[in-house]
Amino acid sequence: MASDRPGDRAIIGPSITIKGDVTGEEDLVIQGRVEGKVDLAQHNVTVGANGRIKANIIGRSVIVEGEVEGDLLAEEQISVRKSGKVRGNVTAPRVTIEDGAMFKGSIDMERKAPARPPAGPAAHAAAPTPSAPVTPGAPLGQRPGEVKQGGRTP
Amino acid sequence: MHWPFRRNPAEGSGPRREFTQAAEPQPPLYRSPALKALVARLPDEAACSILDLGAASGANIEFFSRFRCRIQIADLPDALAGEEVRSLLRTDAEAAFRRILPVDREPFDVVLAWDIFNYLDRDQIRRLATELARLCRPSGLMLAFISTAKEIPEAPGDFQIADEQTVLWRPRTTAQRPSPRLAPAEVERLVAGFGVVHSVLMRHGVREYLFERRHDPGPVRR
Repeated sequence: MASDRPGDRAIIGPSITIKGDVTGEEDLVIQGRVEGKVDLAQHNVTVGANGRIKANIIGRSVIVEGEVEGDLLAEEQISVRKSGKVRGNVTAPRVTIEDGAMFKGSIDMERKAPARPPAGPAAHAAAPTPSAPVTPGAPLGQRPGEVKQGGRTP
Repeated sequence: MHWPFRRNPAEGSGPRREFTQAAEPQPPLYRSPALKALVARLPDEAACSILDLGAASGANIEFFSRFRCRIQIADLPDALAGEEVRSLLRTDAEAAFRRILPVDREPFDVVLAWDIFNYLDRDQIRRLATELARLCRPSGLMLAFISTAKEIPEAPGDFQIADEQTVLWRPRTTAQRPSPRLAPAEVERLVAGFGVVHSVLMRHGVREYLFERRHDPGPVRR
């Protein structure tokens, strides 16, 4: 479930660098750097304008305003804003890319969720993304977790 | 160069005309028979795989989403702007295209080449077409706009699909350069792995092509 209270979200500040996996049970805004994997399958992930991500991202919805090198997987929607830069493959039922955004990779909007992307960031933007059907409405991942490394700025 | 694109319907006579004219100028729209022919050939049921050589466009992604398409964005205008690729293109065009073209899990059904051929020399066109033929399934389609005008914008433009027969063209620069002005026979010879299924010269000096990948692309000329 997504966070119930408005503003109930974690923020990785612009001075924070995380090397490793990030998981959690709340929405997340990333303004810093992350290298590894971001897995918040039931929550919203926002890569802010200052965010620099070299990782695969899994979320309920994913918004990119900064830079991402890796595959994006969302249960609901992926949105790349005009300031966003993405090099990787994206999979979601709905994908929007604003004019001015930079994107290189594949876009898969079939109404089925693929298997989780590999742990590391996309080695190549055109790397194939395997697909596997899931039950409609089922979360993409069930694993609970927490922010394992790095700091959080409330 | 002037591109007398289709007039915006809102520019017609009417009580609100003065407000329409006072608004920000809209990017030009033009009718695209080749796009219409392409869309008519897209399968209704089966999902298809599209390789877009242009820059990512939200409008194009949304348009093709209704056909359950998987879209691969190659953004050749961006890739070709890099000095490393341009240098490699001059010395080994085949290697350059293999580097910047994606490899999908299955062959592509459609290639959107837009105006990219206008910005390559003849040998580069031939090698790019060879690579695209390799990446496409037999009977795969390719949409291309090739200028017959004297000049073209200095860089490839951005194309957005407005509807199934209308394209919005947004040049990235006002600077001009000479156009290669490829004749139809020469285009057919350079794009040897594909056959022309639709070709129409538009009033704005662009010849639109819809190609179909041959079942047997023939020997690849190196």
